[in-house]
Amino acid sequence: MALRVGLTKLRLLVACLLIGLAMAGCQAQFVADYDEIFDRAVTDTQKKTDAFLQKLAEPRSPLRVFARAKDSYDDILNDIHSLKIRAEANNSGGLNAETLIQIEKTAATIRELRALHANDARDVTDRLVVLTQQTVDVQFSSMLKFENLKRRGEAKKKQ
Amino acid sequence: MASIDFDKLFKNILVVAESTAEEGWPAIRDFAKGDLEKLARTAVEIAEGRINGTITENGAKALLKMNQNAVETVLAGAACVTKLVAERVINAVLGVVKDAIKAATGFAL
Repeated sequence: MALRVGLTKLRLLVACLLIGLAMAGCQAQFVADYDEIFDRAVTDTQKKTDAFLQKLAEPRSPLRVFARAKDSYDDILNDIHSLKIRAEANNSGGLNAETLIQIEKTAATIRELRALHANDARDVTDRLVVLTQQTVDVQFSSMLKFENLKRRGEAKKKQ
Repeated sequence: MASIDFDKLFKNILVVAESTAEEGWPAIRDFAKGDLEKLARTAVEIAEGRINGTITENGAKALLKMNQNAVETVLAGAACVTKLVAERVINAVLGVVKDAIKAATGFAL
């Protein structure tokens, strides 16, 4: 009996809350809106990273000497930093928190390769570069996929 | 002005919430599954590379850290897919409530 009364009160409370939210014209938003500029910037950074790693994967690539590759690493990390700035600008209320994690983890992968290369270029083998490329491809693709899901969310909200 | 039938409203809310979430769950699974499979395969290839000598010890350590970064990247995206599903469910439920209020009062919100 007490449980039934409790459930009825709970249902009324939830209904009142929902009616209040609906009357206030509220729309829930837990994730930032799709950002076309960010989407394009991720694609550009992915292409630049891919081009660099493909050159680095060539067995006699001059880029195997760290001093010759340093500018490319810095350029890519600089682009990723710009992605972070863009995502932070859309992080009101923490709506872009996961995208910021994705950016930071992608930067961490490039920094890992850079540090390995700077420490001893002999560690940067053909196979290592191929596996690095596979890994970083998944990271960029995950960022792009997620940004695309934000766009699909927008389309649904407008319906 | 007609009253709002709470039982009917709750029934509609549950139907909408359930059907919307059901559409969302495969999206979460699809988002992460393929990428996590690729990363698992890469982890195996790192081990093979270390065994056959095509990857140095330091290289293997670095690759494993990169692999961990990538797993975290994918999982961050998957976590956000859950948020998108929750957002969609709540907005669908609010839509049901708005419709019920409109039907009872004649006012569109």
